Amino acid sequence: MTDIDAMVFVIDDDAPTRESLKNLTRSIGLRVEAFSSAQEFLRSKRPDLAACLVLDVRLKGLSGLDLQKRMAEAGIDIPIIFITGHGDIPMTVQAMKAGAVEFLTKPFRDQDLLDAVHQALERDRKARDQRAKNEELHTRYDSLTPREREVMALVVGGLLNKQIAGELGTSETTVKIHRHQVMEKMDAGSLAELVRMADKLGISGRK
Amino acid sequence: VKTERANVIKAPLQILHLEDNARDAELIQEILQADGIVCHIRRVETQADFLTSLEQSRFDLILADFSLPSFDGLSALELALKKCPNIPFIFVSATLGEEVAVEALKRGATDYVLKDRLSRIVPSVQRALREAEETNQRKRAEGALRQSEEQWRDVFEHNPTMYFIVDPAGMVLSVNPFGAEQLGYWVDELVGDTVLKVFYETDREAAKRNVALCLEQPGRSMSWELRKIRKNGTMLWVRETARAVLRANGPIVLVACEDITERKRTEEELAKTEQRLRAVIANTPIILFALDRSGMFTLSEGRGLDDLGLKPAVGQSVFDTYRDAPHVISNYRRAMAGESFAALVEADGLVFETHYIPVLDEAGEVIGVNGVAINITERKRAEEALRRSEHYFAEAQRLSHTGSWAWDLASGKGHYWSEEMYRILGFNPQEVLPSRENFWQLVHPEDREGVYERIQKAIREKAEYVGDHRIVLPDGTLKYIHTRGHPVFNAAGEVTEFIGTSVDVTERRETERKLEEAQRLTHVGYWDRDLDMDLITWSDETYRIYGVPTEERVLTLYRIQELIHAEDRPMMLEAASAALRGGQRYDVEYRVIRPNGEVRIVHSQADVTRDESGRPRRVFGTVQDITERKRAERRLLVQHTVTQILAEAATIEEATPKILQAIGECLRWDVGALWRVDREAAVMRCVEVWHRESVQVPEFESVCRQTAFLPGVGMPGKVWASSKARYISDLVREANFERTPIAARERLRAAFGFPVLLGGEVLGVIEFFSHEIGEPDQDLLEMLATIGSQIGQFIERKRAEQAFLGAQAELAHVTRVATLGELTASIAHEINQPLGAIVNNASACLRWLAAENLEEARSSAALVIEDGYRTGEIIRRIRSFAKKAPPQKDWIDINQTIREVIALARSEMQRHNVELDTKLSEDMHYVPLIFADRIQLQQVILNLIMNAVESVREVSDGPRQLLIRTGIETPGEIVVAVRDSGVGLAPENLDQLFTPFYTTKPQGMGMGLAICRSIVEAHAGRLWATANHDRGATFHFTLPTGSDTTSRLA
Repeated sequence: MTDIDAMVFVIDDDAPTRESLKNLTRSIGLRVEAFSSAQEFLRSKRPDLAACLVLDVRLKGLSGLDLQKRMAEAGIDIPIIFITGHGDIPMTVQAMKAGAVEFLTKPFRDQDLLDAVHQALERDRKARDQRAKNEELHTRYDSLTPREREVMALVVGGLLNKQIAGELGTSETTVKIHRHQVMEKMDAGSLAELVRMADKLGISGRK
Repeated sequence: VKTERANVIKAPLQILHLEDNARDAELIQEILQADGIVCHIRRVETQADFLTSLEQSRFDLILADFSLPSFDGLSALELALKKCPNIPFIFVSATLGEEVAVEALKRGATDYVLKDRLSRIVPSVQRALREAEETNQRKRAEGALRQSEEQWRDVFEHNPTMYFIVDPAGMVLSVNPFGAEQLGYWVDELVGDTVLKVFYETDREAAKRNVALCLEQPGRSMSWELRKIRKNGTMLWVRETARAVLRANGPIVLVACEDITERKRTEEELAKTEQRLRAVIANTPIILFALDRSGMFTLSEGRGLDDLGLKPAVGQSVFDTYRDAPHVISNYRRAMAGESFAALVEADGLVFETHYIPVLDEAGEVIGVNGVAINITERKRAEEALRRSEHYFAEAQRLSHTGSWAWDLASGKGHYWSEEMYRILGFNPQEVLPSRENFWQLVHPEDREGVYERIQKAIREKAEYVGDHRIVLPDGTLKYIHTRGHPVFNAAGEVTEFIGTSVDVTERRETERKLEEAQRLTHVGYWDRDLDMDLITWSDETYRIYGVPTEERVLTLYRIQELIHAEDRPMMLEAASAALRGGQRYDVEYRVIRPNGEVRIVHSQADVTRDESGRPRRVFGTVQDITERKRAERRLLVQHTVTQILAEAATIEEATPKILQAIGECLRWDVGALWRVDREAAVMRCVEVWHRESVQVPEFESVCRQTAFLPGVGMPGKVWASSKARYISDLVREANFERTPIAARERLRAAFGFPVLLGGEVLGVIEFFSHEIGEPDQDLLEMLATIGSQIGQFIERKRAEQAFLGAQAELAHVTRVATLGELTASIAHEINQPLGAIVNNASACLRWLAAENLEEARSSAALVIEDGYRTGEIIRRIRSFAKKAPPQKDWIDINQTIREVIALARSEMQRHNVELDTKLSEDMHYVPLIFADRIQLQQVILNLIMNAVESVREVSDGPRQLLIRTGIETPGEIVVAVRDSGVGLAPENLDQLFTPFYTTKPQGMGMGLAICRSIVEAHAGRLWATANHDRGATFHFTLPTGSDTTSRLA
């Protein structure tokens, strides 16, 4: 039942705890990599797989919560399961608000951790798919010429070809050609689809 | 001839005319005169007249008749020829035949004129006169030649000059008799022989050469000086003048030769004399000089010149040479003015006595100056030195109050007194020598007899006079005079006089008296050892120190050594010989055993006096009785040592043996014991026995250890009962001493005991024993009483300390537990950690088992076990920290101790997000161990960490940091620093921090730091706090390292 497409990262500065977490994670067939500090983790080369992070709140140097903040800033979108020796409500709230999957207090039931791990991995997988799609869209958009991007922006803005031609100071025919090119390159079946795409790409239509 | 004739004419011709016929004679005269011949004719008729006339007068011409009545012409001719052969003789006769005429002419007549032909007489006379004149002239010439020859011959033969004529081959052709005679030969012996034989052999070649030279240049005179040799072999110097003369038959050499031997000898003599003179001048520090009218030096000689830098040189002008010495020039002028004088002339730092003598010419005019300058610099110096030396001598005598004198035995009177002698005896040096009576009057009446006897003895024994006596001056002044006289003997060995010195030793006497006084007061004596005479002198105080009566004046090294403690003798002898060798100065302490057995400790120092060769002559030393000082020193030492032992000892058990040893060794007692009161049993038991290493008392020791004394029994019991020290001079004679037999067997004699007192209570007794008999020493007992109460106080203090320490430990424990209480949350976390790991690993294990992965399951189980142990370890740590255990010191590693504390506090630090950094001195290759109570130190460190965490927590911004550092900053001391980045300390609070119940924490007890400080100080360390430069505070504490660390907490 080894899930080779997923990876569990463990960060805990207490070696026996780290060792036991690794052991536990491996026992359910997951790949695991453990670190003794946040910095070590940040420096590591992580495989491009669905992953989750089991993170001790208190760490020497950068603490678990700090790391969570740092990852968000750096756009590292790995779901986090916090573990801690001292249950501390404000800390828990902060972590969960910042998007933690789970917050476990030691000692915890193995199943609680494993469930959380699975949940986190599942979440990551979805997020990864989404990201992959977005990426496709971007690639398409990148293939447009500047003129075509202008045309696209005006199109999704709801302007007519004639209006666009006027706006750009060109002929309606030229606009038609550009519009066709845009629809082709963006693989948009309809104007509505193109509008959704633009929305995803964060392009506001120009009126 | 003309002249002659003129003369003839002038002077009448003197004619002697033998004619008996006067008319004839007149006729003839008339004829002659008629013919102009002026003549004076003297007519004689007889032989007698004829002869007389011839003898009496000079005649130019004789005319004679042939026949005369009493005389005849021929006889007259004969006579005339005999008498005056040169006067022409003309016969004038009538009767003469031819034969007669021939005969007459044969006989020598000049002419023959017949009377009948008288006219012929005139030419005849004229012819005769002419012929006579010619003859005369010839004869004169011949005579002159002959005369000349004779003269020359005479000159040649009789001149006191040697003449030689030699041929070119050197053969003597002629020699004058004088010459031959001078050489000791006859003329014949030399003529025909070679001239070389008269030359001195070595000069023969020169003679030959000279002859040859002459021959080369004939006519030229040459001369030389050579030596000739006489026949008898003696030598003579000659000066020869020679010339070669060419003669018809060849050249000859004429040699005139003058004996110059005498001259040569004189010359040589003169040369020698001059040489000698010059040698004298050259070696005499004088300068001979002569100056001419212009001031030019024409002579300048003598060794005196050598010393001069500026030498007057011949040809130089005195005005130039002595340009800078005007007195020299003025001396010259003075002499040129005709004065003979002597003056001192200084030149180049030298002094010359210079005599100037003007030189006069015949006219009495001064034409120059002769002079001699004598270098008298040395003499001047010597004079000066002598003058000074005499002055010094007088001065020395004056300063040393030493007078010298000479005393004539015959007259019984002094015949010489130095100036100081006068002064010493109060006389005026200008006066005559005082009389014998004057002298005796001065001598103190009490001393007169002694002086007299000593003088008589010295005379009798022909020995040195040495003696002291007093004199009383007229003004009543008393003086002490030390006199030393030396006998002087005549050829017969009798003492004729004494010479000597008298020293005014009044001051010295006074000083000596004071010195004696000082010696007595300071217990310092002196001694003097004359190595030459092997004589030892002691001062009175030295006698007192050695306890020897001063009457015992005979001191020998052997006797002195007997007075010295046998143990100290070798050391002392070694020191003495080292000092004599020139090694270390003699400076020793030794024990003197006085004849009465009393022991004194003395300190002696001495210096060795040596002569020029370094040979020791005399040793002078001091000796000081330092017994009292030594005893006092020892007592002080004992007191000091005991005080120190008590200060350092943690327990009385630790102190006791050391105290026994200190007292025994310092005070030189052999055996010591401590008895302690056993209150319950009400007896005294021996707890400690000490003895010197060199002393063995096994029996005594074991008896002591087995014995218990009741109060009042035995020495310990008696001291106990009375609370007073006891002294026994000799145990052997003490019937009252229970251990006497044993003591006697182990040769213990003197003993003392003193109580260890606390308040009035006797806690114990210390007793001491010696192998020597000793008199009770009150000072000692008093001092021991002090020590006794000191020990008592120590015991009391220790008891109090123990109580205090107990309380302190209790308090420490309470605070420790309180600290742990504060740590509860952290401790829970600390335990949760391994607990969580156990759960995880156990879960994993189950899963591995389910998956039948046994390998992983096994290792998971192993991890569980490991974590279980870890949990146990945490709990053990906490328990041990919380444990209430009596303090226990051990050698511990401070870094390890700190690490254990960090383990305890780690969770707490993590909980508060405090970052911990450590800089433990592990990199040092040697971490010194410290002797300390581990738990107490952990408590200190934990407390400091907790405080730091607390302080850091109050900081909202900035890092939360904690640094624990260890290191050695001062040798023998390890320092631990706990530094935080917290809120820091207000400087005004730094002092209060460690006061009990001072706290800044609302829930704090305020005891933490106070306890910490007492713990650190109990470890002989210090604890303090400092504010950091940037933020926060640092707490430091030090702990001594090394084996000598002891602590009152132990």
